[in-house]
Amino acid sequence: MSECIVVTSGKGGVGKTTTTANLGVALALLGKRVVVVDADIGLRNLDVILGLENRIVYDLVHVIEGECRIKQALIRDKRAEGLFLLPAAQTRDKNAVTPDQMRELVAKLKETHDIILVDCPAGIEQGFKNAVAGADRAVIVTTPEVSAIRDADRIIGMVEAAELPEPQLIINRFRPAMVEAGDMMNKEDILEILAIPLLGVVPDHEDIIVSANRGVPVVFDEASIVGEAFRRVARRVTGETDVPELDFEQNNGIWGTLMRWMGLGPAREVAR
Amino acid sequence: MNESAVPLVDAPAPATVAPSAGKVAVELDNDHGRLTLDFGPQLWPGDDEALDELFEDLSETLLDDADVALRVAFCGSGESLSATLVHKVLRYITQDCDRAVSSVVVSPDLGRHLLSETFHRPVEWATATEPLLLAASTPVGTPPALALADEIPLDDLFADEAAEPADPILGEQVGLFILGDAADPTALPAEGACVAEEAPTEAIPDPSEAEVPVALVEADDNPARARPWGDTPDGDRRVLALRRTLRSGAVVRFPGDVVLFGDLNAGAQIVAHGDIVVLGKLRGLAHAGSRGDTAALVIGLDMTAGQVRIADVIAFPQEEPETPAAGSRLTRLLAKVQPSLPRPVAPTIARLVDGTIRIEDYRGRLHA
Repeated sequence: MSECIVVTSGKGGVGKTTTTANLGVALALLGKRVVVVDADIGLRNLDVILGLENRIVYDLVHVIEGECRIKQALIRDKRAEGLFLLPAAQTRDKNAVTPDQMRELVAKLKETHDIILVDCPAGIEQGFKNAVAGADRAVIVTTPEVSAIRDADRIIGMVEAAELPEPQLIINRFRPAMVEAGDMMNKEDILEILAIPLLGVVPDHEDIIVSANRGVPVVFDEASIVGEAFRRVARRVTGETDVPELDFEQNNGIWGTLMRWMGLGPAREVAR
Repeated sequence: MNESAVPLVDAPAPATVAPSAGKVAVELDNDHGRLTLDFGPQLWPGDDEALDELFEDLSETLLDDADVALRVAFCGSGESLSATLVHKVLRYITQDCDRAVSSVVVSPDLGRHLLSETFHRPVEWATATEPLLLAASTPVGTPPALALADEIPLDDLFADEAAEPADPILGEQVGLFILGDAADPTALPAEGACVAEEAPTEAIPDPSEAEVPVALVEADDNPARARPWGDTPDGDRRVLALRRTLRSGAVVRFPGDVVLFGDLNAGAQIVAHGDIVVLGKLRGLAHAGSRGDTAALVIGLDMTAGQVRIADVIAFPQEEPETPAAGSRLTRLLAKVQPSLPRPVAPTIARLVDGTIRIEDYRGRLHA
């Protein structure tokens, strides 16, 4: 049974595209046939994060306007069996597509793939409406900042208004050390405000920046804690319920944990 | 008044019933769907006898059952009308005479009294089959010249007395409940998105009825057409109960009391003519007594992050002095030892005392 999941946040810069790319790869590595769709027409990024930008011939708008077949526009990612990218057009804008056309496109993609991941643009306007049009459910990405959470709250309301089922949450850019020092909202605070189920927490890490620059999603890195976080989120997306929570402090030993528990540990970046 | 304005009453009024002391002149124009009630320059008694006389005239005049929805104009300069009287007359027209009412116009001099009396309960007038538009044109002359073509928002008309600043949404529609975007006031009623899905289902036997905005529901005795929040013909206040999280951007406006079973998140608003009770965290904007009722109350759990308004007074709860934050290393350490204890959430009450909003723990007493 195929389904279409839209990855959205309201606010820009919280990591929607990174999350979409990594979830797409992780789901493909789990054996799913995945298409990641870049719905951010005019500001395409997903191809860069995936390192596929120089292979684009046709894009989403070409498909919708009938200039090519879907198969011609889909870019196969050779590193992950079963992963395809449908890139956005860079020379057009959000009004080049209507929600009905998106719905039709998603329905066609569902015939040949298990999971359609749609990378939603920031904002609540036409781009959002297009991205949500064909979706069966939504994943909300937020960071532990009040502004991002406010926007996520708004988007959850709009997702509900679009009559999708209750969305699930990914908390991105989480910094355990700052939370412990009381300088960042913790998981419980965020969940209390947004009141939707949690898919996972992804720590803030420089691996992300490195992987984005290289065009190799961090999920490919077996040793990275961020990669591990995304792999676990992907398992939960497929409906696995017994995925254990990630311990961000696994590398710091008993002594560090004990010191921190006593409030004596140095303030530092955990999960580095 | 622009040129298209058509005087309802010509001079001298060709009334079907001649105006005399304590007598209301009733005139019906079926072609244009206008019903004019001229209460004259003097104070109309408004007792049962006078009412019966008026109803008799009304039933005579409205005998021919045309389908045109009526625009009812109350004219006169005697400050004769109360909200209850307007309601009684409208109910007689809609129920006993079976005529739909599309809008109601009250001449300023009549309306001034009516406003100052009970204007925070305009829901009593929500008996129309179309958005109830209460408006009036410029001064009442002799005979009263009242034009329906000039439809002035109620807030403009009573600007000096309205406690609420000009309201882009409620300005033209009384008794409207909106759940959705404040930025797009016109789109929502048209899409029929005005009634929450969570409105008590037992009161809405037919789902299609839920599509009808609150003010647009006709007041009649057919239970299938009952208003979603329950009918109160005796003038009791209406209550809207919502079971949901009100998220950023959601706006609920209601001409009565609102009870929310869930959180009012930051960026969401409840604007009620009556009281507001939030059985959840109050992080957004709660405006009680939005029509100027200074006795209105706001009760909620943990108001520290929200904004409370009562009538035209604004309070910012988060600016109340807080208990000093745990600062020292030791206290933080102690707090960490028992981190999983849920923070106590005390119900808080906000009320207006001597022109300022006082917010304190709610201990079961409504009055200070």
